[in-house]
Amino acid sequence: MTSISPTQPDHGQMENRSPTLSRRDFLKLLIPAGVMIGVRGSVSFLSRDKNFLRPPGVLSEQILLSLCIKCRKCVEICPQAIIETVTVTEEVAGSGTPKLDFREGACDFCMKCVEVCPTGALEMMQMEEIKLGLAEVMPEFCIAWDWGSCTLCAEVCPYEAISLDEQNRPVVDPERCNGCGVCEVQCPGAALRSHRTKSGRGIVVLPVEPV
Amino acid sequence: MEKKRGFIKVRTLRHITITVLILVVLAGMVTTFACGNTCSLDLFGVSFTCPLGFLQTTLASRSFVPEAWVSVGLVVLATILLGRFFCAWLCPTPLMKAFFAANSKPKPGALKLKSKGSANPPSEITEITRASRAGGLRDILANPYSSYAVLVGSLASSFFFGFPVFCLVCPVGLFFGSLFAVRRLFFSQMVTLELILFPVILLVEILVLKSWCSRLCPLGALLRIIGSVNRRVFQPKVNMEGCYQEKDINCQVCKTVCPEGIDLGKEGASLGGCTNCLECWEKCPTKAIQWLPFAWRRDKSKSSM
Repeated sequence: MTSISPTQPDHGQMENRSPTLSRRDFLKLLIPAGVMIGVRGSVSFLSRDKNFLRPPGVLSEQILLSLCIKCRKCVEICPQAIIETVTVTEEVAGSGTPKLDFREGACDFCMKCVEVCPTGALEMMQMEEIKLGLAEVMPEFCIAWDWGSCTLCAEVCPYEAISLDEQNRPVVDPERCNGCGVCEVQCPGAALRSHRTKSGRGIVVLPVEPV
Repeated sequence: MEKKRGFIKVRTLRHITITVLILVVLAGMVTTFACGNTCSLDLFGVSFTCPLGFLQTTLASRSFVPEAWVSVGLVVLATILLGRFFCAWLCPTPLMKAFFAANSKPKPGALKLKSKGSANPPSEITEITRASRAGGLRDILANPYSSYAVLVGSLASSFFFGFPVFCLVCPVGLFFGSLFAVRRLFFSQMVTLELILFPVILLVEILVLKSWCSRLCPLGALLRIIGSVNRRVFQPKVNMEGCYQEKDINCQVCKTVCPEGIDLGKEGASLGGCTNCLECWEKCPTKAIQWLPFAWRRDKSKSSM
């Protein structure tokens, strides 16, 4: 509108007056805002009970949660595409934070996720210090357990952390395993057993107990 | 109806810059180009990180987060020079509002009184009536200090709960989070609740909390505080020779078109909240408003702040 508008009474143009907000009014504004955010935060806080597989460079769950701003740059940059975010249905407080998914790839510790993190939620660490998780054999799905003759995980493990016992069943060495996920992504258990109603991989990487 | 200054309306230009940014972010999402989004953006080898996110993490982690100092510092520097330009030129929220809410500019605190008498009561009575009803949503939305309250609330809850709480409801985060949910649907064949939840919260923020940008957004409040430090470089200035106010014609165009309700014609107008949207620059009937730094040196130019 380019017409000149008639004189208007200056109804509460507080932007251009010196601040006259009383303490009571400020509290009245602060309280609903605080309640909204407080309720939201406490709901989130109380639902924080899960333990997820985290990308390399996580010192502790608490540090990750406090520093992650959910920018999702790590999700984008991972060349193996194994980083995804925690969903709101899994956990409200930590939703949007990164977790690992070894369905279609494994971690080769390129550390690009750590390089790209803006707040240091993922921090650069020596490879020897990194333990993403621990591989665990799932006897109900592992082919070597009831059929024998499958030795794939022991062959592909880059750190020689899996050996075979007397019955040719895989055994994980907790000292050598760093949770890279190669065994999980290579395991044919889910594919070969897909005719069953419930199938899964015979070896999966599980999060270790937080320090 | 709209008057153009130059070859393109500034509103269109703003929508273009926001759309370009969103497209760049989308391109980064589906390739390993990986530029991030406005929570933290990597472009041309430089990183820019949200200052509100940064403050929340410092409080949540009780540490200084030095990794973010440079990327946040760049945003702070740009805001000192250009004010809340992010709000007008880069934030996806105004674009969403343009799609979903017809006119979401806040009225400057005026209430429609059911006048039983013939004339409108004088403004003092209006003020008293407002004060006695303070606390309702409309009053919260009309009060420019509400955004500071939300800012304080966000920072306090981040400190209290140990994680950045506001990031869960931030419209910028929710917007790009929705895009990520769609990406996940196509990349991993996973249907997540975010696909519905995030757009719903966004719609609430846009449609119900209409004056989000100027009255509620804590990031806007933070940028307003940062931008108030030094604003002499890029800000709209009135050349009083051309301004109708000088000729005793009460032209209120600049105040009417301003999404922040700033009255440039007034002596000592506070430009802390100015988003440099350039609406006043475009719409002034006498083209008396200048924006570029060299306009300073005009005689009798009235610089504010």
